[in-house]
Amino acid sequence: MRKLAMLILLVAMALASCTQSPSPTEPSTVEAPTTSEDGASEETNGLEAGTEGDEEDPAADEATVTLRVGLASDTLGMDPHLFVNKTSTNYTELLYDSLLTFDESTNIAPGLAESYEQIDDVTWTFNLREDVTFHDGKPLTAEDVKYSLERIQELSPKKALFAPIETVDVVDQYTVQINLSSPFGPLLTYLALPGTASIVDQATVEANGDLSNVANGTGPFKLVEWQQGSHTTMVANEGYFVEDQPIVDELIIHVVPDEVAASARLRAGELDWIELYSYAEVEALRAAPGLTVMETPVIDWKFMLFNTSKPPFDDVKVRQAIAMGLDRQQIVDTALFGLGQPAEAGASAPPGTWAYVDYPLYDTPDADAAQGLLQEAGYGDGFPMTIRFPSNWPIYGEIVTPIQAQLQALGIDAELEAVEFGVLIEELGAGQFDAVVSGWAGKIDPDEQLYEVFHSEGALNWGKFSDPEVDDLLEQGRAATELEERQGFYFEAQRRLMELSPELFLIYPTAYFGMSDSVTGFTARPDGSYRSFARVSVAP
Amino acid sequence: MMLGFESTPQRVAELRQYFGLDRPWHIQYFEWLGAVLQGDLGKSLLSGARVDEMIMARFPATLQLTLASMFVALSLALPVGILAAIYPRTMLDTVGTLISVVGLSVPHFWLATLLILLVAVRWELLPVAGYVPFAEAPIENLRHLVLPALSLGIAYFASIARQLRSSLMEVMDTGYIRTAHAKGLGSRAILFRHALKNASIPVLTVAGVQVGRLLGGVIVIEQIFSWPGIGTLGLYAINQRDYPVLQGVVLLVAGSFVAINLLVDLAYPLVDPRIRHS
Repeated sequence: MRKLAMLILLVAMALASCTQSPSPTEPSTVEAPTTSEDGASEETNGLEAGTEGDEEDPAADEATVTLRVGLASDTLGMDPHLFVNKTSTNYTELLYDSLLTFDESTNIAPGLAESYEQIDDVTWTFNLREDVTFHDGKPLTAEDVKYSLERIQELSPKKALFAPIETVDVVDQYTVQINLSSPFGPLLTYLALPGTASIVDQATVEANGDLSNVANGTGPFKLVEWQQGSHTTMVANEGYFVEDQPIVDELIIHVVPDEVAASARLRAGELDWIELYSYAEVEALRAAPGLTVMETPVIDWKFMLFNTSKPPFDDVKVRQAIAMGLDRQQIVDTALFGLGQPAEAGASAPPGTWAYVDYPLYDTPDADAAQGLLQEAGYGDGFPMTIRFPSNWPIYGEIVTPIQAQLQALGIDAELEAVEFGVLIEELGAGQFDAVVSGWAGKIDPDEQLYEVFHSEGALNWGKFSDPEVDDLLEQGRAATELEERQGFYFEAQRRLMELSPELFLIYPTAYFGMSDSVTGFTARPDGSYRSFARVSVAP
Repeated sequence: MMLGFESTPQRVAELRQYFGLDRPWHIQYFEWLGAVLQGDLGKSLLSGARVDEMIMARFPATLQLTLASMFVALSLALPVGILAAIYPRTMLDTVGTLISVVGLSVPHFWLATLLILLVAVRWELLPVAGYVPFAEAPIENLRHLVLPALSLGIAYFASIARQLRSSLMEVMDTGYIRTAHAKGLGSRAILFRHALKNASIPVLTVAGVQVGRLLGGVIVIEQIFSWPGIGTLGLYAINQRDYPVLQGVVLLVAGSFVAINLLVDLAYPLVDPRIRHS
């Protein structure tokens, strides 16, 4: 039958066209970085002379241990300086190291720099380890650090965090001196940022234009292949400077945007570890045999920001009334299925971090007092408002629903508007909003959490909030270098922010991970880093 | 979007200027169009990779999925449509209609999830998701293809089946079919040699249009099954505002739709001699 014949022909054509596997194009494969000046062969390095297992050939090595993880999105690119959003840094932090790093409790720990010293208010020196090499075998020197920091200041979307670095001097082969323009407390934190503050190799950048598609870092894993939108394959860096890391031989990161599919793949044994972003799946996975769900508090907070330049939100009493009237626990119970913490005694820094202020101003919702305040402010009959939130992540839609109901009880008629994230950013920049519900993630230092948003000159101060006392406290917190001193300023600042409520701090969500029982050694860092993949082992 | 929440007005302005996005849009458009006519689809704003290479790397996966889904759709539509037409108003017809309506009403992503949970997780017959290039492992490739193709195929076979049924019924009532009966030709011969060919024109048309819907449905299905095709590429481009990539994808999809319908038009004379001779 003609139609059948045509059909078979088409199918045959399709199968034939599929013999081309979608890999060897720019965004996908990575060849050995074109840098080896000394002509050293690809994967060997000076330290591990004689180790046969260096050249990765999983097919030949039957005992290859592979960790297969599922992340919700792909990286935007492999360049750690250009792409600094969390999803991208989850990839780049495995391939690169920074001068410093964080331990499991987000305290500063040595990274590529084994020690550091503060010479004076504006001068710091860092002593590099002498046993570090890039993936192509080239040893790490102070020149690389200088080059990297300068590149960050030029290209990084987060370059504002590194702006106080005035110059970087190479003192000798393994010593770097950083000269600041003014005293800067968060310096060490920012130098430890995974991905963002990576140290890269200048020769690789120059040979390739940028690092979007190649990776020659010092990190625990080496990039083998990046199939954009599908998966990324990495192998262990045998010459990694931390003993016995990484434990697994191979790491494959699969992109699984759909949480049901991710959960299904975990249950079917196709993946060993997934990040969960839908609380609905948490219960299902907890019940499944052979699987574990790990929960961990993260330095994330969800907030409702007011446009303080627009009535009625320019009246502090109105903001305070809402702060007082909201039942944060109820939001956690309904939106997060009870998995998370209400921000009743904290602002941007959650409990467990050094900047947690423990100021239980709003731990008991008081609708009557709230009503009273509204009355005083002249809004006893309530008022209409619009709450915007990003549509891209379901959690915000879930959070605003109980908020709307609670505001109703105060006489406030809130309309909910889901806005696509890109559009939302534009509206925020133009000041076209009443209130927005959203969240921040992974900002470890209170300077990063607060300065740009609440300082009157802050670049992200969409609500146009301005308070000279807050400004002063934030500036002092930034300039001070002793932890206790900084703590004092940030406690003050957060208390004042909670009292003035330009932004309501709503909840601290918890992060969840599903993993097979054969996976051990994973610890989740509160900033959302997955560096601990280097310490994970997979039982056969 | 590159800057995310970190976007300050100055940085945004810098980037816009760098990418030439601050020029009047009609100028940007004509420049792009001119480049396309010369074969240059531009480069990704985010990774700097060539758009045509990015698309070509992922197109085979989508092509395979689309064709497989069409295959499933036709495999379901042909028997259901034919049987319903031959035995109208019987139990068979009713069941066929029922199946078609269910297929029409069920959202393909829901079907996908259902298939995953049943076939992959509970019965462990097939992998949940993912993709293996055909060249690397043909069997694995096909195993991963089954569920996504079924999700799309089942959701889209209904219109084809319905059209086939009604066209066939119409044709079987015509004069020349009755003549064939009178000449003594068996029912099967009549069916396959005459009736189907004549009934297939409107069916082909419907199938061509359905491909358009399939191309749309492919986006969600690719997302669910982590199938690295141009559907997910387009979705990423939308989310990240990677305009050159998005433009390339839309161009390709629109072009494919036109090409397929052209093929359908060219297929008419193959099927219906009346058209051939006119």
